[in-house]
Parts: sequence; C-alpha cells; structure tokens
Amino acid sequence: MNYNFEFGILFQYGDYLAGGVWYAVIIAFPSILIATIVGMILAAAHLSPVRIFSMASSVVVDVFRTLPVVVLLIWIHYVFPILTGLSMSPTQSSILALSLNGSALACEAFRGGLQAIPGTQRQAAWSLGLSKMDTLRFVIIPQGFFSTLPALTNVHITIIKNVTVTVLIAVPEVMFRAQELTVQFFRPLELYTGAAVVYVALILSFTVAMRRLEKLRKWESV
Amino acid sequence: MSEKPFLNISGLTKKYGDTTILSDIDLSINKGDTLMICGPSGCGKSTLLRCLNGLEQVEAGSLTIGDRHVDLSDPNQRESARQGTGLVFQNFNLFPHMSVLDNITLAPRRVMKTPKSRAEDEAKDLLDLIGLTDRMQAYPCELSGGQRQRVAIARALAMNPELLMFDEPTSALDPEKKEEVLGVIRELKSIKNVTMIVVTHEIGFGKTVSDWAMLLDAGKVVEFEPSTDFFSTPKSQRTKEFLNAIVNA
Repeated sequence: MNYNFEFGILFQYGDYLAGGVWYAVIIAFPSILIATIVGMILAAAHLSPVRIFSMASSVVVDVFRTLPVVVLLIWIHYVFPILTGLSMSPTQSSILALSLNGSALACEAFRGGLQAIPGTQRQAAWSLGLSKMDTLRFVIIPQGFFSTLPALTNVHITIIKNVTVTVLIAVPEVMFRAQELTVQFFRPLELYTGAAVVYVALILSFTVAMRRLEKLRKWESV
Repeated sequence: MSEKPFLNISGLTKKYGDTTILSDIDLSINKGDTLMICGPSGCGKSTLLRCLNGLEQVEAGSLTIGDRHVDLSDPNQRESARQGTGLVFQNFNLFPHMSVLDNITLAPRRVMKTPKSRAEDEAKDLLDLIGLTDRMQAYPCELSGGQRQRVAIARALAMNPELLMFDEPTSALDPEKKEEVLGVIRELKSIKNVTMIVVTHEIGFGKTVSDWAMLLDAGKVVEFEPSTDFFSTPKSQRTKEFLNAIVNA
C-alpha cells in the first residue's frame, strides 16, 4: 500500500464540488414532495375496498420499486423522447424518475405505518358510532402520521442518495463534478470521498429536521 | 318479568365459517338491570357483546332496546346498534393521541353534533363521576390502568347509550385498580340507573351488583337466572362446576 492521498485537491476544488449540492437539492426536494403525496394516494388506493384501486396500486408499486433507478432514468431521458417526440431537461427527467421510484417506496412506508395501528382503535371508534371517514380523519391518520415518519425518512434518504445516479444523464450535481475532476486530475479516491462527505452532510441535516418532527409527538401508544 | 322488557335479544346466531360461535341466544332484561355473563374462554362472551354493539356481522338475530329495534343481520342497521349501545373493552382502547377530554368529547361532537362547549361541560360532569377531573388534559399514557379504564367508561357514557356493555373490564388490572373500576360500575347502577351487561369473572361483584347472571358455554346459554338464585342454587351441573372452579382458583 503506497498510495499517496492528496486531499489538497478538495481544498482547491471543494467549492466547485459542493456547488453541485444545489442540483442535488433541486432534484431531491421536489422528488421527495411528489413521492410523498403520490405514495399517500397509492397507499389510500391500496387500502381501498374497491378492488380495481387496490390492484392498480399494487401493480404501480411493484413496477416502480423493482425497476432499477438507472434503467428508469435512461428510459425517461432517452427512450421516452424517441417514442413520443417530447423531451425533458436532465433535471426534469431526474425528478420524474426519482419521484416514480420514491412513490412506490413511500406507499409501502405509509401502508406499514397505517397497519401498525392496532385494529382495536378502529373498533373503539366504530363502537362509539363514528363513521368510517371520521375514524380515518380523527383516529387513524393522526396516529398513522407519526408511525409512518421513521420509514418515510428512510424513503426520503434513499431519494436523496439516488440523486447520484443522475450522473448518467449529465446533471452537474456533486457526483458528476467528482467524476469530471477525476478525469482531469486523476484523484478518484479523494474526490469521491469528498463527494460522499457532501452527501452525508446533506442527509444528516435532513434527518435532524425529521427527528425534530418526530419529537412533536407528545403522547405514547398505550 | 313485566310484559314488555326494555332490552330483548332474540335468536342471535353468529358463525365464523363453519364454526358456530353463538347459537340462537335469547334473553331479556328490564331497564336499569345489570346482567353478569360468565363462561370459559372462547365460549363466545366477547363475541356476544361485539355483536350487540354492531361490530360483527351476524347470521341471524335482533336487538330491541326501548323503542329501538335493530335487525343485527342487516349491515345497514348495525350502525344503529352502535349508537344505542356502548362497549367498554378489556384493554381500554383509548385514543392515545388525544387528551382525556378529547377522548370523551370526540364522539358526541362528531356523531351527535353536540357543540364543543356543551360536549366539554358534559364530559366534565362525567369526569366528576369517575373522579378524574384533575386529569382532564392528560394523555392516556400518563394514566394508570384503572384510570384509563375509568376514562373508557366515561367515553362510552358520553354517547348516552341505552345499554352499556363491559368486556372483562377488570381482567387487565391488579386487585386495587380492579376495585377502582368496579366502584364506578356500582355507581352507574345506583346513581344513573344505566342498563348494563358485564362480562366478568368477579363473582363477588356479580353477587352484589348484578340482578341477572348467565353462564355461556360453547355459544349456548347454559343458565340464565336472577343472580341470587344463580349463585346460591344453580340448576345446571355445568354452572356448579364453573362456579366452583372460579371460587377455588
């Protein structure tokens, strides 16, 4: 082992590398938002008594959580324009790919969170004469929000990390810039480590915010 | 018994697949009466209460409380059973994310559309009755088991049920907390004259509080008698065995 680490490159080009965070944020943030909303709708459809809704939801979820994000990205960015004549910017394609994959994952997080609420809660509400809608609104969803949060945070982290895949379609985010500098200076170990540090910092600050949200819960299950 | 009983259950039959859980249950009691139901595990006691509360779809059977007649086998009518009856669960099943006050006022506000201030005033009266006025803003996780069960009773009472049912209300509690809850049930009888069905194995409580007692076994009524007779001179051999087993336990 006689590799000479030269982290000096990071001090020299650190600003350029970190500048890619902007792209990571403008891709990850909308994707997280869309995935959360669509995931919620998919979960509601899955739990719906109408069979066609629950089946459609299962199909969508199975398709988009099994497809590798790389393939999804390439299809959306290169195949979709060939088939339809409509093309999107790399950023738009990335948001779409990460949203589709994220929605499937978020759906499962919501489903798990809602199923964690004991059936006895629903029975207690019905026993008092509450309608199904009111039971959902006042009993299930307020509890489900908090029981979903930890799993949902994982989904959000996965989305942020998947932004690195967008190097494939040349979105100039952190990983792309690391690659670019590597070609130029042949310092891959230092540069990719630097890129990792940027992502770790981004994700850590995100999880701190989510933990704050979890702490808003003043009650415990009994 | 008077010509027209307040509470009448007739022909109640419940099956899970091919297994019959309750077969053709008939019974009637008067307003303000308390009926104690006992029986071995799995005999259908809890299911009976759940059916009367409209939580279960049954094969046949009807429930009459006062002027309210409900065909329990009709899914559209079960809603009405839920509103006429209240059920207190073995494990309380309070809403953990709501304060004591919100637990009690949720159903009156949403179902009966009682204005918030009036619902809260009524809840405070109930809290006074169960002796928990000072814990009004507490969450269920901050209460003891006995306190939680008392809140669950107040929550059911807030809907002014014509029939209040208890599913082994004290079996998750230690002896001291048990007494706390049984005390509230006694008060409901003496002060509010609530018609009640209590599934319990507390024989002492049954003897002093209940007017009627019933032994249920394998989904059938083995014995249904005024409780003085039930406990002193049980007619059926099965009842004698069961009562002996409880006393010697």
